[in-house]
Amino acid sequence: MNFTKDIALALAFTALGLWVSWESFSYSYQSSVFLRGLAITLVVMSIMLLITRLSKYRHVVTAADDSSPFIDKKDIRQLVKALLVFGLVGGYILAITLVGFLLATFLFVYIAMCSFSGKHRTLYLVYSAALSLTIFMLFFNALGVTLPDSLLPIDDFFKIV
Amino acid sequence: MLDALSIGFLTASQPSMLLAACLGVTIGVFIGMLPGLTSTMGVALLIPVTFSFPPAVGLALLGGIYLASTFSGSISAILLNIPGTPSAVATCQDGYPMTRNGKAGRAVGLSVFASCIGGIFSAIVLLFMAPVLSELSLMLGAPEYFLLALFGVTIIASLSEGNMLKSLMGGVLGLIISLIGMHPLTGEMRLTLGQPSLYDGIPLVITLIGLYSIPEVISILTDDTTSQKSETSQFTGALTTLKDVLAQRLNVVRSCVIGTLVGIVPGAGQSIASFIAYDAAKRSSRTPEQFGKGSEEGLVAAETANNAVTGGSLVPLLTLGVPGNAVSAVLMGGLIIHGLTPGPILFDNSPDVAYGFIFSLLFSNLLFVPIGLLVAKYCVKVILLPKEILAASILTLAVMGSYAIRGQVSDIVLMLSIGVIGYLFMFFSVSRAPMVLGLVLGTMAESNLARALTLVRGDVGELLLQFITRPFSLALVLLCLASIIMGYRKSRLTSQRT
Repeated sequence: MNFTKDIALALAFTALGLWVSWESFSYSYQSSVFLRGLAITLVVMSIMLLITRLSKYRHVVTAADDSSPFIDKKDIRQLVKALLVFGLVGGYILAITLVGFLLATFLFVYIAMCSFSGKHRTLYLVYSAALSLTIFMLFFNALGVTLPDSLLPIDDFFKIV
Repeated sequence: MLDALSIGFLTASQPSMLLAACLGVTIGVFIGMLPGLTSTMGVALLIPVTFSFPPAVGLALLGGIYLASTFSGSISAILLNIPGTPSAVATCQDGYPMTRNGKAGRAVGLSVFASCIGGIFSAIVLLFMAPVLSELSLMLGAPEYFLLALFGVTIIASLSEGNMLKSLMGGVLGLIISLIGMHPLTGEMRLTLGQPSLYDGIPLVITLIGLYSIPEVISILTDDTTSQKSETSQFTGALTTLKDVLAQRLNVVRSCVIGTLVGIVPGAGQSIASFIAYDAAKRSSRTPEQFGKGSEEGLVAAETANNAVTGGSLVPLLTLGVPGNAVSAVLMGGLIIHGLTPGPILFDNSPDVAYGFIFSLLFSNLLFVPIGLLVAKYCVKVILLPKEILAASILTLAVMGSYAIRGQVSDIVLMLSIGVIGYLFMFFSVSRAPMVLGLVLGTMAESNLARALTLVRGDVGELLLQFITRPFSLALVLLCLASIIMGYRKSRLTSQRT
């Protein structure tokens, strides 16, 4: 059990609950009654978590039983990977609007695989092309999903229907 | 009645009907597997294809898609921890842990046979008890629907892994997120931050994709264990699981009944049915501690119930002309396009179509066993892919799945934002299942509370009185209380053990 993480979580949920509760006062009674009830419940539960954790944290410290740090090595490794994933998907979204779905997907899959491992770059190149074309054909041609708007008209060349 | 049944059976046995059911099942299996493509979307996409078909053949195709896509959402849930459809969320709880334990084939096998039994049970109920059950569903009003949603929320207590309070907080957050957008009765915008893309709320499928796929990719990239790969690639044990499913008689029957009854209640949905059945299985299990870690009972309960909803949801549509859920609403459109009027008159005027459709549902349930197993046998190979290829493929499917729902790039941004919440849940060790339950139940709870309050002119005291004076309300109140008490007892027992 990580006490510091739970305390941070309780504080974050308290802040969120207070914000939602504050916002709910700007809506009519019928629109806000359920929302406000939930926000207040969230604040109450967060405070309960905070109190239980703070009391247990004091016991742990007095018993000299070391509690785990807020972020350990595994967390840092996970955070780095998470930031990489968020950054890559963020870049992918931007690329879709700039160069179209097909090229953006090809670039995203290739860059993502190289960033995650980078061992077999030629294989990645072939796989990226195959995956992006398969998904394009399946969703946009076979299932008729609307193409996203982009600055370059590359997708239109491959659109059959 | 017997004449009508024999006409229906003969209609459904025609080669064209069987071929349509087979085609529908095959298409449905692929649609359900792809994250972002739901049963509703699949049926809606194929309605134009059925224009030129005779009505019964067109309905057999659409029915096959509905059943198979409901089942196959579990394939990606089991293999990748991405629920292909919202109804497969409960399947993730134990299906994916089974894959990680090297039992992917067994998990898919259990899922196929459990879904088949659930589907057949509900189709038989639809065939013989439709009129009686539809009258029962009409007796439920707004207070009962609100209490039904509330009962769903109380299940959070037993779904929680680790700290119950944190899980409940996750559930409440899910409920709050589900309220983003326009109020169902007043039309007032809430918590939209001025973003037009949030006016219609956050679609459930986008939330599910973000909540499950992004943290899963991060987990794959940081996980060094590869021991399960060689075992999962074998895909063994799928065919032998039928007797294991049948051995869980009580669990299967209970889940069938829960799924069918929830299906009959308009608006309740498959996700709620599978969670209620999962919760009931956990409560009555001799090994509840195994739930969430690869319990076969949990997987069978969730899968049986979500397919048992299919027949149940067609009861109000075929007998009253009222669609029970989004898919049956689309199917209703399909019936109307073919010149048929859903409702009691359908059974009198077109018994061949009505009963033929129900019998074709029975056949479709049998057809997706071989088709589902065959598709899953090759799909299981994805686990053998190197993790960088698997991670990039999951992310691409997640992005495409969230875009395909409404054709808006802003939905991908929404999916990514929910993914960040999913990662934070993982970081703070908060279970994601209660949040999903909150998301599923939020709108239903709020709209029915608003309706119930309107009926009593805003008098909360009067509403509370209705809760204990209406028989169905009282039963639901007692169920809620029992659920809370049992959750509290379980929490106390767990804390005493630790």
